[in-house]
Amino acid sequence: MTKSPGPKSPGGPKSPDAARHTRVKRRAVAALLVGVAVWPLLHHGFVRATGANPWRLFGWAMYATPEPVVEVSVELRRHGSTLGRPLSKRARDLRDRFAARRSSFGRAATGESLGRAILAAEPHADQVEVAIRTWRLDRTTARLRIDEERRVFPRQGR
Amino acid sequence: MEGVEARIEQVLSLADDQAGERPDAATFSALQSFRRFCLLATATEAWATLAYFRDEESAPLHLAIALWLAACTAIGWPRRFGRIATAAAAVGLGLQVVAVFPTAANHQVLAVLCLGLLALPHPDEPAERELVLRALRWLVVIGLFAAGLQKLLFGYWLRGELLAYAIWARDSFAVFFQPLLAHDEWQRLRDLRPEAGAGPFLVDSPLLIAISNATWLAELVLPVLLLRRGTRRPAVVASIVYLTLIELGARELFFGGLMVNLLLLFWPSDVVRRTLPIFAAAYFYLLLVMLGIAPHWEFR
Repeated sequence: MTKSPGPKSPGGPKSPDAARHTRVKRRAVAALLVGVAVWPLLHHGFVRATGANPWRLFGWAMYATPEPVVEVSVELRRHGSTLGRPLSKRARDLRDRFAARRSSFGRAATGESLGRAILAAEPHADQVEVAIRTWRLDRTTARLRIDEERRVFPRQGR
Repeated sequence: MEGVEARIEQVLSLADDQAGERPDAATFSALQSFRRFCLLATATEAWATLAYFRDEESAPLHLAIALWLAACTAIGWPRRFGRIATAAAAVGLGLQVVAVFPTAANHQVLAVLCLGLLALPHPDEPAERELVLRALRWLVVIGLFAAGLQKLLFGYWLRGELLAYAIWARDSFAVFFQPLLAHDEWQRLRDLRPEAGAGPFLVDSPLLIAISNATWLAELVLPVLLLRRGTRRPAVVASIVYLTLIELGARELFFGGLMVNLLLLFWPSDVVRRTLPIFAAAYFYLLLVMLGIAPHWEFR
């Protein structure tokens, strides 16, 4: 380990500039700490309102609830029938990225953009159905619960 | 403005030591040691993150960040380039947090804040060193209290639901709590199937319910005891014991290591310097685990 020679001596009275810098830093640190202190309360409200994952977004709420698990499935359709083909890699990436966003932001991530992006990535489909299943531990019953949401996105302008 | 300054000073000084207990040299030494710890911990975790993302498109970015943080650690270890290397590490880690947003771990954001604060003080300004030490201590106080408050407000710790769920979902928690639960109760939780309606995730054990409630209560009380100078030392010891017990179940070693070292900053002398070799050896061992040289086990 490097042996530290110790702090430099200030060696005299502070210049006005140095004193001003220290004052600015003190205020910046105070503002940072106020932000860090207030954020968990806003975070709590956001999680309550949207069902977002409390473990995310620096709210100090890890282990405050079991981490919700989000599963997103996508079904491609053409003329009302299911297309019997697997999703392209691009569409799979979009789906997985949305699942991560949905898990972190809850219902604030609506899936609207996912539907449009998948239709753009899958030119054979004229409709896409996005199903979002969120596994949670219901606090009242202490049992696992699945919240399911399905949305259908038709291709526009054809 | 003077009033605001006075109020800021009044609040920040709650984290101070008793008058005369901590000379500037001790603050200087503690911040140097903590800076080295942060550099080492973030560099090690960057390689763990790279291992996690190695098959993803973002692997080259994580490799670049891991190399960057390793270079910052090597360059910033001696005092001479410490400040600039710490600032560079804060930027590198900040980039990683942005790159994996919104799934960045909370302690990585905490580490960015710590590195940013450590890069703040001018070497000739004892008052700025004192400011940074106060800020780091306040981060711990706020973080612990917020964690306890969140647990209380969400309510999953009042009947032991969270612990029951953790015993079901995570082997490490199941092993840790097995001796504290009747075998039938433990087995019932472990046998629950992952399906809608599974449960209830409740326990009859009064001991486990007491532990569950003591957890959020400790997180609300310990920060107050850390701030009170008369109870600070026992509170540091109690907080570290508490964190160690949590990590025996959670195995979140990077979070735990950062929090323990932040707590050690409450001690009047530079304890971080004395524990640094232990953490360095532990992180070296974790690197061996990640490289497959040491036997694999689950940690975060």
